[in-house]
Amino acid sequence: MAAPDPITVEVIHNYYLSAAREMERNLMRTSYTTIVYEIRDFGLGIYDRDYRMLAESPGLAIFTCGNDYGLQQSIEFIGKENLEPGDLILTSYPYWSSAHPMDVLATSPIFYKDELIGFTAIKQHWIDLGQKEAGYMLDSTDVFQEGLIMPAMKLYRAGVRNQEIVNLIEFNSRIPDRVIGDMNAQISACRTGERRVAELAERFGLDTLLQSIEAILDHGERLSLSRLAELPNGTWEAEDFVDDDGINRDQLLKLKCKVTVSDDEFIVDWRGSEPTTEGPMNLPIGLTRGVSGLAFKGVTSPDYPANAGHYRPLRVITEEGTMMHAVSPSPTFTIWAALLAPEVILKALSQGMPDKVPACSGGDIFDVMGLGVHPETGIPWLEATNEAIGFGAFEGNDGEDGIMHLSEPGCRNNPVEVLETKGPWIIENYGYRQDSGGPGIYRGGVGVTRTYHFMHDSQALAVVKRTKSPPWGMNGGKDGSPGFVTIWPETERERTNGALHEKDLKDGDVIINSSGGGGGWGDPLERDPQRVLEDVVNEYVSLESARRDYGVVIDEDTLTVDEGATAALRAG
Amino acid sequence: MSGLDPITTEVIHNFLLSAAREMERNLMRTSYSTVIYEVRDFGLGIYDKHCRMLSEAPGLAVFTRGNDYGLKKTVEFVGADNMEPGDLLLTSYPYWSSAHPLDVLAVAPIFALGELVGYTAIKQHWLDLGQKDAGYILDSVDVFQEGLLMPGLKLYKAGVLDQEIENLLRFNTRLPDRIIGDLNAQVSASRTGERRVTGLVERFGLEIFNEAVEAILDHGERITRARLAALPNGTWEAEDWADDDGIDHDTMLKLHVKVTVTDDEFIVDWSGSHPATPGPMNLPIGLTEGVSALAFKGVTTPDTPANSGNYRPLTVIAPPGEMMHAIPPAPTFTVWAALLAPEVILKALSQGMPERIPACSGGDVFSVVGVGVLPETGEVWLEGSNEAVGFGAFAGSDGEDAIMHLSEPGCRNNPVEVVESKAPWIIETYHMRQDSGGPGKFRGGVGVRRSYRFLQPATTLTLVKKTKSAPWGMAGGHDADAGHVVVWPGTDREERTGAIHYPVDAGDVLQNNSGGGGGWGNPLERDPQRVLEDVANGLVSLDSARRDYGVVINVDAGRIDEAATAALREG
Repeated sequence: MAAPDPITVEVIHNYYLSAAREMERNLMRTSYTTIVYEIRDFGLGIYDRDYRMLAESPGLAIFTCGNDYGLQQSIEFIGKENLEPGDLILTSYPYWSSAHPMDVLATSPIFYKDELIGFTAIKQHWIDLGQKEAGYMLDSTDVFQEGLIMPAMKLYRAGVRNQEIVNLIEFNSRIPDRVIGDMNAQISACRTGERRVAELAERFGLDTLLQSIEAILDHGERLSLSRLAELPNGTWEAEDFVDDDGINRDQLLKLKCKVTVSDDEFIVDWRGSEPTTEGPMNLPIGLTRGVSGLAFKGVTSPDYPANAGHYRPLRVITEEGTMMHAVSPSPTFTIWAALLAPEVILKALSQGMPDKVPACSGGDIFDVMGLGVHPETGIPWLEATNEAIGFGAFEGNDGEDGIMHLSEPGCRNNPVEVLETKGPWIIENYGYRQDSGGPGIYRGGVGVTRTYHFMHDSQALAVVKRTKSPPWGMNGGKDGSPGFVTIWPETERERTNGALHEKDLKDGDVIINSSGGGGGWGDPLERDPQRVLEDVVNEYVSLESARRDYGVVIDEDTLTVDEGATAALRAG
Repeated sequence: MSGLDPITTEVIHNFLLSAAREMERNLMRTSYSTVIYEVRDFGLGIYDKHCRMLSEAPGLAVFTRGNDYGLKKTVEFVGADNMEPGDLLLTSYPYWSSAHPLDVLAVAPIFALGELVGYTAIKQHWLDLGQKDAGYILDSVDVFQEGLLMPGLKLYKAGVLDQEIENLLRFNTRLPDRIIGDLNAQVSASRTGERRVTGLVERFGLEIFNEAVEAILDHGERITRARLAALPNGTWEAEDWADDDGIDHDTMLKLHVKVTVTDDEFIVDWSGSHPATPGPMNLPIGLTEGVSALAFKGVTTPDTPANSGNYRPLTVIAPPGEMMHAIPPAPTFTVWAALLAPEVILKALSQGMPERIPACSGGDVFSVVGVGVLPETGEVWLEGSNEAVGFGAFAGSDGEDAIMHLSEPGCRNNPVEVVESKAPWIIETYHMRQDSGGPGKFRGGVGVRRSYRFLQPATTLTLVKKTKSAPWGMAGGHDADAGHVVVWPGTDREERTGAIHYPVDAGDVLQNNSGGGGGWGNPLERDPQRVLEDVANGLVSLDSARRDYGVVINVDAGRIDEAATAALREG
């Protein structure tokens, strides 16, 4: 049998990519919850029968890589020999699914003429599975508090829906209608993926398909290795800190990584990070691998759709029973260490390749959630949004202002209009955060600020775990301003925090979410004064900061740079 | 169809009773946890195809009657048409199962001669189903915090174990090996009941079996009605208070009942009791019905085994959404209001029939639970025991000293030797509690004291919700000393309390004091010789003999000082 020609391989590759994109469209068009169809809190992919990812459509990018592990664990638990066409399997055991139990992994085997040829996998956020607190949890102490644990259960057996499991889910959720609605969207998207891949096998024949898969993955590996060979070799270390574990509020949690780059290997070693935490900051190993994969992909082949081949040169080392490698039953609910981890890898790399790596971004996804009983309908409401942040500046360019964190490049924020329609709150203010970007020759991007005004008895959660460690600048650039959350502003009760869970908000209570700005790159006194002026005109930078941080004096009335005063100040 | 002869009926009836007893033996012999085989925290019964209870073997009596409701709801949900021989269903949805989610109801249909002829139902305590706190919960705010909710899941389908559901259980519990062990015992006991009833029907035939069932139930109704007719008619009200709901520790919770007795009806109306509580003191309606039935049975036919026929004259009223009738998702975990409820009914009845009704007992089951990790093995340990209480005195006799509360007549305490061998604690004291019984012409029974010394860091829970409302005396008898818990006794931290959920260190001591029963009649009329006996036995102190009973005892002589006693009593 001759190997398929490159054109056929590329047609098949693109068909897979297109099928994954169609799954995503299917999911978003049919889901009930804004968290899925607006925010895109999901990650999905198509796999071959050896659990190798062929195509993905990441919403939350950290999900997809973790899905690899979750898929393999789920199928090995059930046994490949026990799979039938039409099966659909749910997994919410976090040490397998590689996320918290409310991010449920659905997998389905793909068959062609009774032969197993692959899998679909979709992980998405379910808004309630009977976890100890409605909405979200910041202080669980074991996995049993974190919601219904499904150890790879067949929701569909040979195409037949198992009503018992549907009942089980309905009875164990505070919001059963929406959970089942979203679950049906997830199923439907899996079916779309199955159908497309089966069509592909039908059209090209199984042999061609299987050989093409090898070619796709080998190409992914070749690409990674060639990019890897261009990187400087060396070993570098870096660390950063998550605010706390939700139980011990004064204890910062260390992420430490040692990255070794050689011509054919990229080793990420997390040993030396925090021991296991009492609160829910521990990461399932699949997730630690996933976020490490994300950084690796970013520095090698960010311009190419991911497949399992890309990750062949990557090796991730952890110590079992530590924060970066949770073992049952340690709590994993607030998986925020995973959001910080990719940038710690970049921080290590920046020592060896400062020209290739940006400064730190705002560093978190700044999630705010409101929930309660809707006064008009009497049914529970739950809405949330992640917030855009400033990206870190890098050699040659400013950081982007107000875009979604690199852990969730496929996600979006939840629009003001949607939030206000769905929940009894109004958004009083939504704007860029002046001066939040770190000053530099290249300025860090600015974060945003959004003000929520509650209009009815509600609960609010802020899931924000990077407020104490500022986003670092690079090469003489200044740090960005870390994000923070303010509750009851301009009252006697005003408080500034990171994560919070307030269960007793009343009509008129206000929360302001301020996301972090990115770090700057290079000495701000060397920034072109005209660009500083533009930033002032656009209100990214204040007059005071222009003068203090950039040494640029601007005439407030004419909005022009005072060249003489600037030169004097900079010569200072 | 000719009428069935009474002898055959009675043979079938006794066969069913014996089958229930065999189920119980089976369960106790094969279960893994002391909570089942020592404490007997279960209730089981055999039912006909209409979910009518034919025989029972109550451990916790409040369970069995609630099982009627749970069985009915489970069968309705799944559909009798969808039952197959060999099925076994699990229900832990509290509004159906009529207990908290850790008391899991197992239901198995019984088939004989090709037909559905009845059900077995066993509810028993499962040690852990992933509820928010290991061990027990005192402060849940909704049902979703209370453990895995199973709405009639078929663990066995036509005799075949659904491995997925067993996996589900294993993954949602902190103690998988023990709960699966206990579950297997529950399954095995169900199978025993099925096998016996199937054999019975095969022996006598469907027609005779069905006739016998009707005859058994009709007989149950007849004897109940006869006893009911012997009671005075009237309407009486009473109330009592549970300590708190676990969230708001300063608000006592009212149980208010109006009992109406006529010649053919017994109506228990809980309207006017506490509204729904934010904490887990709400009762599923099946449990409210169950505890009401317990009191009803006690005053009508305490001397015959229970069946559904007994309860036909009973009507229970509880407005939905109040504490006595929980609606989803109200928390129900701490079902303690159910323990107090039967005695509130008796308190109401006592106004119309004081000679038939005892004073209040210690009024609670005084359960202590310890949870921790065994230092030798790293495994999670969980042990506990309920405690005996003093019973209320009644016209003609003292209350019993230290027996299990009337909500759990089939239960036992967990022996010292067992408790100590299973967990890293020692029992430092265990004895009757002097002066805890209410003084009276007939003395209330005394409660007990047991002190636990922890040898390793652990978490302790006490499930005690009647420490603020004293067990009442009757007809001039005095109230008893209410039960209570003392943590860290004799130290600076000493704390007298009721329900707690505390971390403890090695060396810490927890002292559980169960309540005494109320007295009946004027204590000054008690025979001084009986007071002397109580003093000699250590049940009453010399001080109390003098102060409460007006009896002066010459300690050296071991005799009553007749003259001083007479003078004091006339005082």
